Order: sequence, then structure tokens, then C-alpha cells
Amino acid sequence: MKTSPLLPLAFAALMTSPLRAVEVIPVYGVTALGGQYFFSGDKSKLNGNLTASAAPVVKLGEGRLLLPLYSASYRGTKGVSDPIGSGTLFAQGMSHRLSVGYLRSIAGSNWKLKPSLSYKFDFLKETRDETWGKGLFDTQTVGLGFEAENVYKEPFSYRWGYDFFYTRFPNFKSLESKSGVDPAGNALGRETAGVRTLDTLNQQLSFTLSRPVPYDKPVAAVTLGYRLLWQKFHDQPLVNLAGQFVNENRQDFTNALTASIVHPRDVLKGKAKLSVGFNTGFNYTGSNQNTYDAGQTRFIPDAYSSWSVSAGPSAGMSWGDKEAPTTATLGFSWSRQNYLGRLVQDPNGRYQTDTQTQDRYLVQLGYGVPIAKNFRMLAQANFLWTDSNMTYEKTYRYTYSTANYLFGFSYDY
Amino acid sequence: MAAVLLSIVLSFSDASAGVTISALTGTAQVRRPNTVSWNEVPTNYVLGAGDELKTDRSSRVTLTFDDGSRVELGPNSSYVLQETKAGESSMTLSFGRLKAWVTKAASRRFSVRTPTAVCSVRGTEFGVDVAQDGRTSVELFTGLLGVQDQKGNEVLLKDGQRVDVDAGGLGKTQGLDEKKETNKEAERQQIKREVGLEMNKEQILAAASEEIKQALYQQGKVMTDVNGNRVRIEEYILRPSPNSFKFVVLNERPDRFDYFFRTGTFNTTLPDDLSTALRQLPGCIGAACTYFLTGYQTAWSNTSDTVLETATGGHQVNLNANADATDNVTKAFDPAVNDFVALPAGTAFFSTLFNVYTLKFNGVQHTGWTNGADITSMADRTFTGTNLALLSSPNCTNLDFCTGNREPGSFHDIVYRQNVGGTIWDKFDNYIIDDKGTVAKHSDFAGLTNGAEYKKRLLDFNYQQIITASEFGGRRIDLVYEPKILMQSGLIP
Repeated sequence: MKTSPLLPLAFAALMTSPLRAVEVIPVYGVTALGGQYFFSGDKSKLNGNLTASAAPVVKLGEGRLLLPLYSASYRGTKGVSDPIGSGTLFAQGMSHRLSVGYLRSIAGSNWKLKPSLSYKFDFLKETRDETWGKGLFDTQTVGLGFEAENVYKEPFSYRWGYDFFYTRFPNFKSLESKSGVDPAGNALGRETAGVRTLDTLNQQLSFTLSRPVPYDKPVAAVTLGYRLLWQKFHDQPLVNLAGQFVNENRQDFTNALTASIVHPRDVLKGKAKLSVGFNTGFNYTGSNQNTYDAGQTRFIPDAYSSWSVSAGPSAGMSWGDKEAPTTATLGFSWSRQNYLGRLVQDPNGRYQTDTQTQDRYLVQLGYGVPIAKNFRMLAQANFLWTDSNMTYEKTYRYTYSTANYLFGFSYDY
Repeated sequence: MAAVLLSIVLSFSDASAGVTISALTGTAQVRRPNTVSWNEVPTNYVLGAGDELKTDRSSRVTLTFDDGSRVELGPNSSYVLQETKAGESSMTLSFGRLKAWVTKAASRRFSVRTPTAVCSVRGTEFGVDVAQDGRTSVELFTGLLGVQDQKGNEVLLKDGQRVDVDAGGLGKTQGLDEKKETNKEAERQQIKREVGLEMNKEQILAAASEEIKQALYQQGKVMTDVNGNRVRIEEYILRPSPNSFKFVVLNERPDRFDYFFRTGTFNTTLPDDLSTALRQLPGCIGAACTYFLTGYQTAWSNTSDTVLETATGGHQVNLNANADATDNVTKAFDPAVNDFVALPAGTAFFSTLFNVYTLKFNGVQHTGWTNGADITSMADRTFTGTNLALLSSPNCTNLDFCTGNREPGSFHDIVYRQNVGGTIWDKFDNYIIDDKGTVAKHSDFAGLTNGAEYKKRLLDFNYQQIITASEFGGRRIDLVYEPKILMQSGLIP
């Protein structure tokens, strides 16, 4: 992976800033958790998760910040929302991300302008034979973003964002592109088969609004979000009715709407704060790609398009020291995903007429206790149940339950 | 925003009649009383009573009074010099920031008025900040400063102290350093928010990649074997010509790549929906098939070793009406009912027979026949060249090289063949395995009474075929594929 030429430019911009005005404000945090993952009656070995971030934010002057951010994570135990795949309990992930952002507050207005550059490498070891850097689903992402935020009433704001990013799976090439020729010298793969079929060029527009309700004497806060994501699979040709490729590549569009409301209030005669909320979301992905099941010579049009809805309440309570309270959180969410063209199969793989749906029920519990200045002890538990009308589970589980628990601490400065 | 307009009135005793703009950074504009136009103001401009002055976002203006007192206006400030006469000057700061240095004169009184506070000064350097919502912050650098809220409560600030005043009254008196710490903490919280926003954005982008990966799992293109290792499978169909198809199965596992393909050439142009033609490959009941193979080629390879099976001269034969009674078909799979059906005596059953056939391992023939005219039964074949013979019990000395079931009760069967003398041989280890790589038991198929049920049960498993031969130099071809592929390509009737 070549280094993006934009990153050196960003550092050059940093170096040309008047040093006499520079003040560095370090912000960093570490969270270390250990626990186990459960799936269908099996449990993983005890393992740990670690996340860390460091941002030596440079104050270049009044209303001007440079935000270099390095964040890293190691995950030794699966998250309940990870794809189940063949049900293996083993998965390790590690990521490193470096970004440089610039924040400019426009004097005399509430606007903040935030261009940013980022680079991220995700390492994933899902099988015993994969090593760090050689995971099939390792990804590299280079991103360029711009955001404009208007903090019209602290801390409420509305934000417009645009992001361009390129995601590359460095270790993933289609087998077809690696298949060579048959004994007669004829190509084994189709002539127009793609090589890097998962790599995507992405552009995203986003808008987020947070607002007090009512505006003057708020008792709740509402957040609304909209996101339009365009993904271009520049090396994944479309599949036609005959299972052949055509001279056009896959493109996906995702529209996502989210809405949440939070109502905080004092309870226990002001000794504690209770915050209750409700979250909803709607997501629609449209894709021009189809699939062809060679084993059953079955063409499945519109196989990647889907819509989903989600909803669920959440609650959080904090008490004790106002600066470092003890917290407890509880969340529940339900979501349903409906594929527009992907057909249900019976337990033997035979296609039926209905399209696939899956319901997911997620319960999340959290507890945090301050143990020293900036230190917190944490406990988390997550439970997920899924239910689907897809009964062919030879290669993937659609109906299952899974859970994990994690204990550890966090340090924030 | 008249409701939040905040006025700060500064009164100077002994103030001079002249207030001069002694320093100017950026641009500032002035408006004379009872006029509507704003004019850019130069350095050394003398302000008169009632003059309004405003600075832009990057401007600073220093006003100097005749007694040496100074007021510095910060960016985005709006200021009115209310009065300037001997003994008293008053001014209004509608919004923005000012810093004042008031000289020590015995007769001087200095006061600051806001909607929420009144400050009384004796020889002082201080700053006043007025926010748009009316909150006032007063910072005292040197001297003494009395600050009074609207309720009459008063606090006396000393050197290096500060206080906030709002509609609710006086806040807690703090040291300037203490406030700096508070500001820093607030600033840090702001920065943490920005860092959090940046990291949240990343989570959304990562979710898109996760979705891509999940689709591959669901399509069965990536799997994990019983040892926890990665197995990749791709299966697809090529259409090399209008009357042919090519099934391809690719396997990639740690350190190895194997493939299987079967090319079929039909008697006529194939429809877009191949299944129409493929359904007829096992044979047709009652009438000759509309679609049948005239030739095929099947290959198994590990990219360096290859087993190649080639057949040509395919033609339809009614097996129930030929001279060979041993090949009569009494039960056949009928795709129309998706089951095996019994064929009444005299029912025609058409199958495809091939006149020319070879099976070669790295180019060395192990089986072959050649007929010049259409054969009407398998008994008509004329074998040519090398043809290996099955070696089975009781003629075997080593069960690993012996045709038959290798593991009693399990689906691990061996097909072993060799020439006379055993210099040329081949061996197929055939397994029926589940997704975890465990070999299926015969008991897994117990109770199944017909072929359709057997086929249905078979779909729950995978085929693993390990091929070794005298030409491979100890290497092997190791392929895993789903039975449905074999059914579709006619290898399983």
C-alpha cells in the first residue's frame, strides 16, 4: 500500500503553522476489557479487548485546532453483532487508524469547518491459519472528509458532512481471477471476471441535527440523522440471467435515517440522574448486482437490495460524584432486515418463493464505577437473538442466539 | 435580539473631552449620531459623543482617553461612546469584549454597568466579556473591583480574581488560574467531543465493509473447516459457445489450490436457463431427450497434476430396447415429480452413450475405448491402449490400496486400480463429509427408502475427493464440492 500523498501535505500544513501560537492539548484514553463469547452452547476461551486513542490536539490560535488522532484496538473476543459465518468462536481483530483533522471556528458565527484525512488498517484473524496482515478480510481505508457544523445552541448543532473513502481488501482476490487455464489452455475463469471484487470507492453525504425540546426550556434532546452512501465496486462486474458477467460494475446506494430522543431528569431527590431514550432507524440499500447460484443453475435478481427498520428504548442512570459518577445503562433494540430479491431456501437449499427476512433482538447492559481519578471499572454484557425465515444453514447461520460478557477498566484524560 | 442586548456603561470622572483611536488592527467602522451609514474609521480618529463603533471578526481597536486610560475592543464588538465631557465619560458595549486600563487618579470613579452587574473600580486593569445570552464575565488583573448583581449582592474582587454574573446573580469568585483550568477542562471536553465524532464516523464506514464480508459468508464462498482453517470455494458456469457449458469449482485452502471442471457440449443451442437442459442429463423417460451431450470433458487438478476425462460421439440410445438386457432401466429419476419412479415394462428410457472415451493422469492413459460407429450399449465398447483394472479384496495386501469401503460404517470409500505389475495405478479416496469435515456415517442415511430421499439427504453433506496416482510423484488432488454441483452436471443421476 502506497502512502497517500495527502498525508505528508497535512503534516506540511502543520509544520508551517506559526509555532509561537501553538499549544498542545493531549487527549487520550484506554479501555481494557476481558471476557468470553458464547454461541449455540459453546463458549470461547477467556480473552481480552483493548482500545486506545491519543490525540495531541494542537491549538494553532483562536478558533483553530489541528486534530491528529491515532486510535488502535485489539479484539480477542467476538462481538455479538459480528457475522456468525460458520459459527467459529475464534476471531481476533486489530486496527490502527491515523487521522489528521483541522477545525476552524468562523469568528462571529457558530460555524465550525472540519476537513480531515484518515488512513486505517484493519487486521482480522478469523481462522487458525491466518496471521496478522494475512487475513482474508483485512481492509485498508483511505479517507478524505469535510464537515461543517453549526453549534447554534451549545451543545446542540447541525452538521453537514461529505466523505470520500477508498476501501481495499489487500488479501482478497477472486479465486476465478487466480484460476489460470485448463489443460487445453482455455481460461478457467470468465473473460471479464474481476480480481479485486470487494474493493470499493465510496462517497458519503450526511446530515445530523441535534435539538433541544422544547427549544427554550428543554426537557429532552432529539437527534436526527440522514446518510447517503454510494459504493462503487469498480472491479465487480454484474451477473446476468445466464450467470455470465456483463460489461458494467456493481454500484450500491444506501439511504439511512436515524432518530433518537433522550430525556434526562433528576431522581432520588436530586441524588441521581436518570436518562431514558428511544432510538429508531430506517435503512434502504439499493444495488444493481444479481447473483447466480451455479449449483442450482438459479439466477437471483436484485440479490443485494434490502431495507431494514430498527427501534428500541435505552436507559442510563448516574449517581455519586458529579465529575465522576457511577453509571448503569440498559438498552434494547429490535431490527428487521428484508431483502428485496434474495430468496429463502429450504433446509436442503432448494429455493422458495419468499424473500429473506431476519429479526434481531439485542439487549445490552453496562455498569461503570470510578475507582480513581480518570479511572473507571467497567462491566458489560450483550445478548443477541436472531430469527429468520431462511432455513438453509449449511454455510451460514440465520437463526441463533449469542452472548458475551466483558469486565475491565478505562482511563480517560 | 433586543432581549439579550447587554449594555455595559463605563463612567469615568475626570474623563477628557477627547477619545482617540490610538491603534487599529484590521478594519473598524463608525456611525455618527442620527445617521444611517457606516464609514471606515482611520487611526487617530477622534470619537465624539454618541458615536457607534464596531469591529469585524479580526479587528482590534485601542481607544485612548486624555488622562491616559485605555480601552481595547476585541473582535466582533459593538461599542457606543455615550458621553464624553469633563469629569465623566460613559460608554456602552452591546456585545463583544473589552479590556480596560484605568489610571489612578484621586478623583476618578470608574463603574461598569450591565443588566446583571455593576462594577466599581479604583485604579484597575480589568476585562469584561458579554455573551449573547447576557452572561457577563469580569476578570480583574490588578487593583480592586466591586461587582454588584441586580439583587444588590456585592463582591470585592482582588488582584487575579474573577466572577461570573447572570440573571440569577453573582457566581462564585475564582482565581484567574482556577478559571483557566476550568476553561481548559471545557476546551478539553470540546476536543473530546470532536475526537468522538471522528471515531463515530469511522464506525459507520467500517459497517459498510462488514456488510460486504457477511454476503460472502452467506453465499458459502468462505468457510472454516474442522481444523479452524480457511476454505474458499467459488462455483460458476461459463458458456464457451451457444451449445456448451462449463461448470467450474475452485477450492483454495492454506497452501493449496485445486479445481474441478466439467465441460459439456450439447446437440443443440442451450437456453439461457441452463436448468432446462441439465434436468435431462440423467436420461429421459418415454422419448429421446431434447438436450443431450455429444461430448464432455471433466478435469480434476491441483494446478500441477491433472486428471482429464474426455468423451466424444455422444448419442441417444433407448437402453430398454437395445440388444443388451443387462442395462435395462426399471427405475429412473423423473424431474417432473422430483422422485425416482418405476418404469413399466416396455417403457423407453433414453440415455447418452459415447463412442470415444479416455481417462488420463498427467497425460498418461489409464482407461480408454474407441468405436468408429455409434455403440448401442456399454458392452459394445472397444478398449484401446492402457486400461487399468480394479483391485479389490481378497486380492489386496494393503487396505489403503484396495477398492471398497475403508472405514466400516462410514462413507469413506476407495477406488483403486492398477495395471498388471502395478507400475501404473490410480486411487480415488471418496468421502462424504459434513461442514465440519466429519465423515458421514451410513446410519446418517438409514431409513431412506428411495433415491429422491437419498439425494435430498446427500445435499446436507459435501463430497471430498482425494486423488493420487503413479504419475503424481506423491502429490494429491484434494477437492471439496457440494453434491448439488455433481447432480446438476449429470455426474449423479
